[in-house]
Amino acid sequence: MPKVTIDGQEVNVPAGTVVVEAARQVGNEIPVFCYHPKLAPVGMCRMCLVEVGTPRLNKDRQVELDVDGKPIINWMPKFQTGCTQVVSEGMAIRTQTSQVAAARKDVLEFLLTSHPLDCPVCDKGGECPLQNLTMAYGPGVSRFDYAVKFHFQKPVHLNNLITLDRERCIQCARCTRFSDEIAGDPVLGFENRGRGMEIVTLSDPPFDSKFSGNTTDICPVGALTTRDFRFRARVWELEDVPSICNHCAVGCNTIIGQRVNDIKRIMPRQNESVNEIWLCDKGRFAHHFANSRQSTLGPPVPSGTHRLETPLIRRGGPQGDRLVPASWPEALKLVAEKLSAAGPDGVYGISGDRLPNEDMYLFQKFFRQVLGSNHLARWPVVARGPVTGTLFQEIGLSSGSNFGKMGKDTSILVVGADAEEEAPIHFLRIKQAGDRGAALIVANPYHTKLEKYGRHCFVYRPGSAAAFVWGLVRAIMDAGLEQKEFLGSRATGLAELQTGMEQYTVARAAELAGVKAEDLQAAAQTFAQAANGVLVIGRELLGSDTDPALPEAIRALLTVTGHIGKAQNGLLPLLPHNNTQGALDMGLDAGPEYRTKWLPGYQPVTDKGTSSGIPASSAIYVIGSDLGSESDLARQALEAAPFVIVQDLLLTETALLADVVLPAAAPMEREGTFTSSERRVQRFKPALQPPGHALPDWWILRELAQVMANAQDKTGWRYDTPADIMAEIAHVVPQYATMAYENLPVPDLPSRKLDYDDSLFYRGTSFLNPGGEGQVWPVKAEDSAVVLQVRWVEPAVAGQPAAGQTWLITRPHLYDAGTLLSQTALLQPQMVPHTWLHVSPADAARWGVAEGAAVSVSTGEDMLSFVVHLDADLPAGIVTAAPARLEGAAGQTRWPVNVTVVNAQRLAS
Amino acid sequence: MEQAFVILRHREIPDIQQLGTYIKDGGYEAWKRAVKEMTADQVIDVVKASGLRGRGGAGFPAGVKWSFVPKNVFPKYVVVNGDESEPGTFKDREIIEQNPHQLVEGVALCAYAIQAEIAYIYLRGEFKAPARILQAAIDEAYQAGLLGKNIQGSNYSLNIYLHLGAGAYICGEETALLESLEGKLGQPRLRPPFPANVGLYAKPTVINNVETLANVPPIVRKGAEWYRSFGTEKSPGTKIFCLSGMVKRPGNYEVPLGKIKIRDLIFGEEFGQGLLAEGRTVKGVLPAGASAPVLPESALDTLLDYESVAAAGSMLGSASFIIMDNTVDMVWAATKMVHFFKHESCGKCTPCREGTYWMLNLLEKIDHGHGEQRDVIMLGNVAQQMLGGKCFCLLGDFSTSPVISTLKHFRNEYDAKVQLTPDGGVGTHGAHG
Amino acid sequence: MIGEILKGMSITFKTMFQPPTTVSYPEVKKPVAERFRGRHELKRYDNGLERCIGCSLCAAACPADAIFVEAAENTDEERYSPGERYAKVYEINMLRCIFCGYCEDACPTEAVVLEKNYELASYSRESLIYTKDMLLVPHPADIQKTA
Repeated sequence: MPKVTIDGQEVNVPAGTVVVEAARQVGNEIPVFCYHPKLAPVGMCRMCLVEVGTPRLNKDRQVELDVDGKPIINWMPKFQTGCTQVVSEGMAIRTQTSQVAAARKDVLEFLLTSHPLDCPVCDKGGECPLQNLTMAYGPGVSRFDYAVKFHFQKPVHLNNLITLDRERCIQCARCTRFSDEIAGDPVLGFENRGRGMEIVTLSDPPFDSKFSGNTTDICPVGALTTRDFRFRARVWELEDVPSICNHCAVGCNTIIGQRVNDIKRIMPRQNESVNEIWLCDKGRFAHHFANSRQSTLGPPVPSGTHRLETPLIRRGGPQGDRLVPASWPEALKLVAEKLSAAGPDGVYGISGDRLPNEDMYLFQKFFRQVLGSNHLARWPVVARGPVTGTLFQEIGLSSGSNFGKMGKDTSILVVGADAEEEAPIHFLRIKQAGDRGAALIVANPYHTKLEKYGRHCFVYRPGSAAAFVWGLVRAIMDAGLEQKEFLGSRATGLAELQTGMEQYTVARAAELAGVKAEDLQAAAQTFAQAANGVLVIGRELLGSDTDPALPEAIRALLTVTGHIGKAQNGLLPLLPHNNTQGALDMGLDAGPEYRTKWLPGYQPVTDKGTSSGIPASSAIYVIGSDLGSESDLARQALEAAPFVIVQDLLLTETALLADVVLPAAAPMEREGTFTSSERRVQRFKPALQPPGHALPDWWILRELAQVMANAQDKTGWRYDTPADIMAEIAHVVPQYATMAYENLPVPDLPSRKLDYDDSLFYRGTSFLNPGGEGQVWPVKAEDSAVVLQVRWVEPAVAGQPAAGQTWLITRPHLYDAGTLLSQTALLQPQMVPHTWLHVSPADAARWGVAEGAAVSVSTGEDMLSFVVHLDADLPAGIVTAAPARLEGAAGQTRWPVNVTVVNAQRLAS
Repeated sequence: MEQAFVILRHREIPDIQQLGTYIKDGGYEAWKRAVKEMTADQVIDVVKASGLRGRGGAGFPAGVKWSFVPKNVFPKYVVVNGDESEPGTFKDREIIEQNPHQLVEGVALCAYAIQAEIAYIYLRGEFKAPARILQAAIDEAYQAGLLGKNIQGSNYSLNIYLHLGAGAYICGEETALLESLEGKLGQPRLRPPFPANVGLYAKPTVINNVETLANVPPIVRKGAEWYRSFGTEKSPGTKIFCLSGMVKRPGNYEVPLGKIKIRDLIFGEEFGQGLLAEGRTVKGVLPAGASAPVLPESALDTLLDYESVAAAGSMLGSASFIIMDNTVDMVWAATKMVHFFKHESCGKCTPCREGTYWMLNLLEKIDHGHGEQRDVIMLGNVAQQMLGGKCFCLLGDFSTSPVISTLKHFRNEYDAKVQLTPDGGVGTHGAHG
Repeated sequence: MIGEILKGMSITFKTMFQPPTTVSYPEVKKPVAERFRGRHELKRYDNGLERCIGCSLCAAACPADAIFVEAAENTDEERYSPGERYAKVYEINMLRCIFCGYCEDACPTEAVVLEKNYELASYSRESLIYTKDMLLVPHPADIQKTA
């Protein structure tokens, strides 16, 4: 730890620290533009000039002292840039002298000579580092002749989301460095030179990145702004509400900028354990479902999907049955009557996995307590297969883990997951860990972007994930790399495992998975020898038709390597939605038989159930799910059911099938908690008023329970706020024992100050988030008394794709054109429609089809129609389609189809 | 004082660009000896002992530079800086066109000295014809077994590649040259790390100027002592002076360092032979193209070596002397030079990007007679404002030299311009104007 | 005492023959001071484009929170003001306004100007929220037509 003297104050800082960071430690801000703590320094803007000196050494290389016993400093003749100057022992730095002040003023004057000074129309105005630093350090007037300013035509649309104003650009390269270093999308660059140097996009489609919005946050001027926020409000007019992203299961912390009951923008909120200061474009822009009537950009949103404002009841009339507005008491009375009449065996509850914990808890409580029924299920069917919640709560990623701190001593094994599509911010952080030296092992049935950063990469045969993982286990045992000490005290069944695996050699596994045995051994060695190991699995492995051997293989792999039960170790499933984990925790973890196996907190259901599948005659209560648009089977069941209640935000296709539609409030219109796939419980606050008479789901359930229950039962349903429900959850669900609202601080934003706080220098317009990081509940394996049971289960031998055969597998996409996402017209160009069949160029050539051709493929039972989309990343013999499409289309017996042999027919080209 | 042709050998032996002629003159002797008999360190030691200083501008001792390269990191690269873009500089071009084998041999010796097996010669984009000649020379050397695999039966292999730039002055800056060579935008890199450790493709790299390396073969062949017989103690050897401007006989002149004065170069019978017309006097001398401060007439008796020119308030740099006589309007000259820098500023750092733009605006205003006294003061301020470590690389600092030095020596010309009314403000633009 | 009465009456008589200081408003209106701050107007450039760029600085400066602005983007087909941005919504609540003139001070384009009109009475609160079309001065082309 070199000791340096900054403006007379001595401070010890870690070796390798740059002067800017060292100065912050003594409270001296050095103004910066191009420097950003998350990016490599470049020293371009020259704003951080400081005076630097080193101690004078005598002939014996000893520090010379002056008469006062202080080291004599040799001051460097020129200013040094504080962002690139690394500290050394005894270094002296002056940041507050009049020379430094003059230098800052000079550089600012230079910057402003070419700046258009159109702050009144600039979206950055009010939170602009250039404005702030000019106020703090700049000249009061410009000597530069305004008439000879450099001009560009403006604006330039870099892509459909990001707008560039070249006049405002100060060429700090934060955006290009972010794209290169952080996002791994080298799609931005500089063109031309001198004052004519401008940012250009190098990719086709332009600025092809899922993280493009972040460049607008870190841009220190208004050069990069989003189309979404363009001229929609001035930043000081916004009310900033801390929230949690409600799309994928990463649980990014966000800020909702609200004005007159409208979301003007969503920005990341710093949480170094979750999203650091980043947010993907889906999280940033896909908020228009909340106010889908006001969408003004791009093509119109699908008709009929505006927000529901009143309850609707289906009534007969001259034009036939149709949904007509009704009052709440009327609708609730009807629902109560029908549910009572259907009786416990005649009701069915289907919950989406996007609802907050409180609502899902009340939903299952309503069914179990008020209706006396256990007929509950969760949609979508993902994460209802063999690899499921119980496994996550046993060996999940241990509490205290943080991808942001993973480095050389960690190995991250990614199997069956396209992290960039399924959980973009996890992709970002896994990639960063790789950049810091973590060994990434990537295995998928097709190529993914993470492979670029992988130390060992595999493309295994579709459906052979279990064979692959068992192969790793065997390779570890063969090499004697198992953690014997750990296994001795923490695991049983090891001997049986070894006996069971005798025939299952690495060569056999490699053959089954279609990979090289020596690669498998090398990867196994890397994973086993790392001090910390994380296994990341994705949609590919979470389907209900995956190999039953898979959970055992996963448990065995993490157990024999000892990557279990301690921070930075364990299993991370990339769950499909923002609160899939919460749904599991709240006892909505139904298997294919369509009834829950668990009460909240994974306590097994003990009563007997009878039916399987959705019964033909029942009252179905769907809450927060548009299953009707995703699954033909579900649609048929809903059409057949005598009475259907749909509670949702929009008049979805499912809602159109309903007899009663109840309008619910969107997440940003109420408060609650979500549980991320890392099991982090995070609270969000309301930003908007619900439209019309829409109410939060928990409120509707409470009212319904009050209508249905007798006077005595009503006492159990007195919840005034979600906090009351969470208090009850904390009581009922052991994992949530400490999760009452008072323990989940979501600190309010630091009030906007007019002086220049740190965040405006370094973080663009992202915000500080002191302390509000949410809480992670510990998994079972963290309890050292828990003994893990490993078991050998032979992997199912997947059929071998033969020449001329084509395998259809599901592949998730970030912009999957789902019901909520479709409401954001701005993102339409990014959408991957459900109708697309991704085909490798080789297969397309074999079939004689071109991009855009209609094809129908047979699964043997079903005939599916698609539109061909060529994808060069796919291996030949594999075609992929959206999970929602396949899950909905396949036959009842195996309706989440993962791998199916299909015959391709050419219909038209 | 006689010229001495250590590098410009073709002035004595006309056909030396032919391999046969070059070999007859003792060419590739040093190379063969080095590969067969000498260790890499021995080559470095000879060059170190010769005191050869980099001829690109900075004057850093070449042997010392080579010795900084780590021994055990591979691959290593030699990059030859032939991006001869400084205004008034045309020495590398003559070497490449007339005596290419001496350059090839020098590159090979440098590569051997640091044990690099790949060398790149980066030429400015406009050097299409010189590139053809140099490529032909390289091909000849390959055919003669002087380059390629296992040269002369040794286990040392070397490949030399030629690369043409895309026409940017900044790519003469060694780290920008590396960026450009890697296919990136030509902008200077942050130092440290220095190219000797982290250079081309992040590997140890030696970058030397064409003229520097052309000096190496005779040094290795004839020894350091022989080389030191030319020039001075601190600036040994000969140097090519590119003389241009308003002299009767512009051209390249190779002279031992520290032996003649600027006045000799301009008026000497075997050099410039005086100014274009009778009765004209020298007004200003640019000793290193546009980058170095202008020297006034009073500095004509400065000796031509690195130290003396620096002592006179300028720098020798690439030794491209542009002579301006009393018909030249110095404000106009400064405007031209700043226009050059504004055009060539890469845009990476703020002060250079904006400062050159601003200075040019002011200079044009003053030169066109629209300026006021405060514009002249502001011009000086802006130039000073760019100095003191504010710019990322030296281009920014150099761009202020024409302004600061003309303001220092020819302030009266600025004052005269701003006193003119806008209508009468068309300045006399000298012989070139 | 009579002396006091006479003194008072003398003032009465004297003023009886002087011209009256009151005016019979609304038939007669007194000219207002040059720097009088009356109802706002949104000005136009000579070519008819609106000066207002919807920057909201007037709203930010307003101590009474009387101004509401929502901006939008000009297109080549539909252009309201020079540059990229114009005010789609511009409202001043005259009940809240304290006529301090800060908005005029804050305006970077001299679009909002407090003019001489002080006749702002109305029968409803709603009608005292002046919208953009009420505040905007007529387009020069329209003035020519009427003239």
